[in-house]
Amino acid sequence: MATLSGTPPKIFPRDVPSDAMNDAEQSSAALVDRIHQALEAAGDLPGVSVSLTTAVGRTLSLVEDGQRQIPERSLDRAAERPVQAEPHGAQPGIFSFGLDDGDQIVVRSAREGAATARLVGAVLQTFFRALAAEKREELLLQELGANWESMEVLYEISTDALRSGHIKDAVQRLIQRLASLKDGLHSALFVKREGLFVPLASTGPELSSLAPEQLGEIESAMLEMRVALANRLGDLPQSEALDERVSWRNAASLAAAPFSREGCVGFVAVWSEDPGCYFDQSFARVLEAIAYQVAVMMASDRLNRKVRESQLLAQEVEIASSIQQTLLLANAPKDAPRFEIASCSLPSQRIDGDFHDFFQLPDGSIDVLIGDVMGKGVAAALLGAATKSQFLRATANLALQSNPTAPRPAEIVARAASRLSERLISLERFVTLCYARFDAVSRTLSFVDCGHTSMIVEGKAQADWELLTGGDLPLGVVPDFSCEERSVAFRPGQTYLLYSDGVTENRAPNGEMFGVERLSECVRNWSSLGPAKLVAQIRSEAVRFRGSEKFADDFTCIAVRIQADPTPAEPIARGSAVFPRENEQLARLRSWLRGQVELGGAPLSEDELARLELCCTEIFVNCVVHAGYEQAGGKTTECGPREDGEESPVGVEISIFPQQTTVELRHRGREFDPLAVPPPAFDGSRDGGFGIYIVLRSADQARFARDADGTNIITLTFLRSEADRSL
Amino acid sequence: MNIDTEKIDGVVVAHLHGDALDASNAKDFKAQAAPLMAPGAKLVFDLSSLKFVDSSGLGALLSCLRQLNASGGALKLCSLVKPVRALFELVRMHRVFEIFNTRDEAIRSCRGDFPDAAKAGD
Repeated sequence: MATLSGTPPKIFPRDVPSDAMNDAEQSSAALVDRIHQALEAAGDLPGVSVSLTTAVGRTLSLVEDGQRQIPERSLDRAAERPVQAEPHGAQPGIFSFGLDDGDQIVVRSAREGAATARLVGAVLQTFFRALAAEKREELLLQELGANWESMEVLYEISTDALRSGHIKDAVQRLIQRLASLKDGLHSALFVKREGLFVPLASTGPELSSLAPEQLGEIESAMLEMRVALANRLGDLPQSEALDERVSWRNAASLAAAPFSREGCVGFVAVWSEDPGCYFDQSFARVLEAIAYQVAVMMASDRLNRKVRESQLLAQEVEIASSIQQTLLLANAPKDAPRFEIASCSLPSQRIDGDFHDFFQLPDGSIDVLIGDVMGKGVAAALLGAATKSQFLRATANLALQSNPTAPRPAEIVARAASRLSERLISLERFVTLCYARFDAVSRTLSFVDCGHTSMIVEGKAQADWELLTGGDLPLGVVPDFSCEERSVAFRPGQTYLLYSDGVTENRAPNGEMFGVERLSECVRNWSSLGPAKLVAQIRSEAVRFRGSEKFADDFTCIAVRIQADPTPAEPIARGSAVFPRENEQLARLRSWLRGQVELGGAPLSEDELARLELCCTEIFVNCVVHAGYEQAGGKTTECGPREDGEESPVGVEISIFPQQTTVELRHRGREFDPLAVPPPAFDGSRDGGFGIYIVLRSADQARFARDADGTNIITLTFLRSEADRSL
Repeated sequence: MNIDTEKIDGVVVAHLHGDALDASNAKDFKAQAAPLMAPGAKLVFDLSSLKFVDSSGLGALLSCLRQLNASGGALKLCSLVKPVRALFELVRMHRVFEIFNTRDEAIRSCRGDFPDAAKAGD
């Protein structure tokens, strides 16, 4: 976001207003005190003098011949970041370095040579660097902390404003609430009508309409649709230059956010005549959100009264889904080395505050946060955003405590809960969530489950699946929140599914619920195709079940697959063979596969080998069935032998690695989509239709690809199970 | 695929000889089994020799089951090796077929000695 002044937020406010002077004096005194303490660490310094020369040429003595000096005026300008030090080479015994505001620290030593001065200079440089880092951290925390306040204000405004029938009342209330964010603020809303900016709402007395040229910097901010921020006198247009009808002509600081929507153009301005007022980036974001809110409200007011109710709802959904898209959801990381992750989210007609996020840790571990706010609409979406921001804040806070290891999930949840619980209770809302860490080093999943849906874990090795649940309460139920972390070891090839209750509580037209059993069936059916296909398929299954693309609740699914251990580039053994495409080859195919695995040192167990044989048989039979067809112009026709006379045999290649075995089958023929195959009849009423189901449920990984010349390539992977690893 | 049959107490027990029942011999098997599908027949398939069954083999067995069920007969399976049993469970056919651990249990079930006998392994 651009600002008028173009300067980043200062570590220390530069132009400290008069009523904040006492604070500044105190902090300067404290700063000088800290400089003295820093120098004390260097021991007695007879003959050493330290002074600070300001940019305007004033010199303040801090140390005189080793004795502390208390400078006469405040030192707030000294607390800026140091710039590159330039040793004062020309004069031995002198070392100086600059601070980025132009101030300079000069160290003089009465002794011969520059060593003493240089040493003291280095001590001071280190001190100023540490000071600057401290200020940056403080700023970061303030920034994160401000998020919460912003969210809360937006929450109140959104619930309130949309309730109101009269647009004038609604915007007036909104403007007043904006002004109440800080003491001494004035605020106004101007809307463009017939070339003039007309005040529609304001906190002060009657305001005049303004022509664009009277707006000063706001005009250019409007052209660029950015927030105008002006905090220093120099950034503000001179009072003389401003028409006396401009209400902020005496302002010390000003912020304005433009809006433009469906022909409604205007801006929200807020200003203060109090020199102590400072508008920062956090405030700019609040202002921007309020301007957006005004625009939406203004636009809805223009709608025909008859359709107003339904339009308002649509507007709300629009706001909520824009919040959801920007603040609540996150893209699954694609570059996690040990995990394959995919997520799928569908906002419902009435957003209900599903949120999720991913945090990648330096050691390759992945944290997944998934949650759901009770309630629907903008308020729920904003609370979701606020909750997520509290987790970011908790993580940042804990990480700043210079802990060498990442904070534990339970610490993060407890920290976030300590800031959220009371507020949620007072708002009579609660949030369910699960914070899960997939630890790449210890191969464990550690999670805190606060009343969220149970996680589904599935793997082919033992054809197993189970539900993982923790026992903690949702946030916002009790003021003294505590939580416990659960840890389980994970295995390569396993898939973990985290989801919102919108998935399992999805209802069919007849009222039947989708349920966790059906969801776990989905995981077992399609996990071998990988997380991306799995979540997409769960989505289409949910749509099919509901008979509609419109869900009553938000729909969120996150699948995390544990990758096999990194495979060496070269397999232990590799073999390939070509089989005529006829079913009579099946026995030969199986004995060849078994022989290859044995040649490779038989890294698979008997069960795993049986699954491999079964899957390869099913795929081979499929090749035989499909190879007799060619696709042309979208029509499948039976054809004889290919023109070139080839019988399109099936190529099979097997690669045996210590931890996994991969079989690739290639054949020319009809394109094949495993997801298009209907589920088998489990009541025994049909003889066929089991093949693909068997493959997808038995192989640890299955990939169906097709190359440019019409060859289908089916790759099946079988992992060596953990149990066999020790052998 | 060869099928040996013997009649024990009115129950026909068919031993399926062969390593595998798969797409390569499923048709052949169905043709050989056709004479055994007399209306109302009580039949036991002994699968102890089969080391491997695929979905086509399973389909052939299902076809036999449906024929016999339709004519008031019965088909029971016995002596499945572990991977074959695993396949039946994978596609939930252990709920469709009556499967017994031993040939004797299957025969007794056919004769109605244990009409409520629990199926093996369930």
